[in-house]
Amino acid sequence: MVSTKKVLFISASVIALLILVEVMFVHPHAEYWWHEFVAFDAIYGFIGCTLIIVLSKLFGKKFIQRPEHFWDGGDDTDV
Amino acid sequence: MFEFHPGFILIISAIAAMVLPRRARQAVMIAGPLLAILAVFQLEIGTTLTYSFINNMELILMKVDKLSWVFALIFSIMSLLGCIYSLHIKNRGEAAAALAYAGSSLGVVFAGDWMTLIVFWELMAITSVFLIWYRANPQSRGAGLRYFLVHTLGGNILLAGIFLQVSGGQFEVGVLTGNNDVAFWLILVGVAINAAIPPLHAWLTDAYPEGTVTGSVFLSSFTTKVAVYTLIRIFPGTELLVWAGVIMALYGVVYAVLENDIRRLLAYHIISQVGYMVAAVGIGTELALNGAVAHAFSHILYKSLLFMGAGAVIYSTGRRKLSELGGFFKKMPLTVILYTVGAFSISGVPLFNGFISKSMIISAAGYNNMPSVELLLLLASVGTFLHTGLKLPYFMFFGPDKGIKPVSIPKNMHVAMGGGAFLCILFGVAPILLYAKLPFNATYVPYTLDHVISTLQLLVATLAAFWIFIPKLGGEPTVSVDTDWFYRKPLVNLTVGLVTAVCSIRDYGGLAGNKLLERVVPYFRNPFLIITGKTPLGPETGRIAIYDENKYRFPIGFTIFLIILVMVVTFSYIYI
Repeated sequence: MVSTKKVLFISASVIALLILVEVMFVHPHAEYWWHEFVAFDAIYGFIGCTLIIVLSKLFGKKFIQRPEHFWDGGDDTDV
Repeated sequence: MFEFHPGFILIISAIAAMVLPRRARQAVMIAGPLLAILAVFQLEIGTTLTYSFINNMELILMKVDKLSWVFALIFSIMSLLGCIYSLHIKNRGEAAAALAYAGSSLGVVFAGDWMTLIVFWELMAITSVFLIWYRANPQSRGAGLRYFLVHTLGGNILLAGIFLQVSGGQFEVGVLTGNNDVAFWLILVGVAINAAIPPLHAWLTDAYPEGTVTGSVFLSSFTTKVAVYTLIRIFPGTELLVWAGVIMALYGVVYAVLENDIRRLLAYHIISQVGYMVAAVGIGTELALNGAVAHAFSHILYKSLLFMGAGAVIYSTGRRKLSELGGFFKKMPLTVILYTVGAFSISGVPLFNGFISKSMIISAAGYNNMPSVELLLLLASVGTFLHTGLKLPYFMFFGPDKGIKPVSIPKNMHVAMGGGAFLCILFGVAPILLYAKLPFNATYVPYTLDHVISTLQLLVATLAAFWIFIPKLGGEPTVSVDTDWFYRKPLVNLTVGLVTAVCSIRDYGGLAGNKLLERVVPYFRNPFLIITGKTPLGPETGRIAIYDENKYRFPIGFTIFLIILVMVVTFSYIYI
């Protein structure tokens, strides 16, 4: 397994490179401010991913997840 | 030049597959879909095929326009890929059900009038349920029954709407947007059930993971996309659908975080992906509708590829849960590579087909002054890459070694996956091949530097966040309750409770009646007992026959005989 540090280092470098390309070459036709905001997608991706994981896990633990035998209460057997 | 309904070719192949021996059946399973693809290419825009039905009704069995043509193309291609994938199966019924299911999907796509549409719509439900039942275990039997009940309910709601529509003089399938009458809502709900729009979606994630390995590949491709086609045809620009779609896109993502079953995780991402298409139908601009068509086209290819990959894992390991899988990527390298193509496609990585269609919808939202829709759909694509592109392959193939020794999978499965992967890359590299076939007037350029750079930023950042959270993301041995809870728990309890209540009233009533009879009968036999006042010597047991309803029941065959008789008489009255 690849270590977390290594992956983070590589992805940070790739993102840095992408931001460099964005700053130097990209001239977006913007409808909204975030289309011009440099590195917006990288920030949005990182924060969005973190939010999805944390919120879903919280939500799941509180409301959604049940033990594996939850459905076995007779509704599958009487068919 | 021959012009033949491609759906009928598949349905005829299904009948042939039902009766032919194995070798011949395999030939039909290849030849049928190939002929169907050929037939689609032979069809010209504007072709119609009608059939005179009772009451001077003219059924429009086939009406070809640009929209139905492109859907017909992808459905017939998919039926070929699916048939190749299931070439090794020994169950003739399953092969026939799959072919008939694909054929009836084409029937819906080409249907020009409401009656034809509903007939094929119901046929889809009937044929597809066998792809679940043929797994033949208690879970699949239960899930299949629930699937069937939900779809018959949906079909009946649709039928009610169609009756209103037809009796109002609207015989042909057409745009209903803005009508806002009862027929509009009934048809919308009927179609929404098949499109799996929450809260009407639970049948999908309940049933698809319980289907057979090969059957679920078919299931993942047809029902929801036929519903998307119907939405494009009937409800373009219905604003409600924008938000329904956005909710769908995120709903699937949230549940996918929690899911442990590999095919159920993929099923939640069907909901998420169909969300993009539904939102696009709601936006309703020409670019958005083209986006919906293109995304359905791409989605069928990559999602079936992913289901094929997951099916290959289940076939070769016998396991289906992330918490039980992992560490065997070296033993199935080809499957891992082909799965990854599907995963990159669904995630919208440039050069794969998801990129050229998903970006179209997101851009359409932006152009149409819907910034929040654009951002939320972008967030959903973060979730898509997170689960299908990272979490699922990581914990399924890589991750901690569970000492799994997979058996090798049949060659035809690899061939089908290879075909799907090839098409995913082909359309990703050369989007014009797809764009040229899109029905609406809108041009789009997916490969701008701006676009590619921002997509890559989004994806790499997601990868970084994923790697930080890996310890938290492993499969947990839990199940997730969804809206199917309502009909799997309270509704079952309610039904059982009501039946028990009615039965006990009947039983106690019968018992009390019998006791009363036993007391009264002696007085009838000897009325003088009333005058003499002598109490009869206890109830005379054995004299009164206890009522046994089974003695008086008709055999069920008699009822069926009557039904057939009535049908024969009716039909001979109509036709003779």
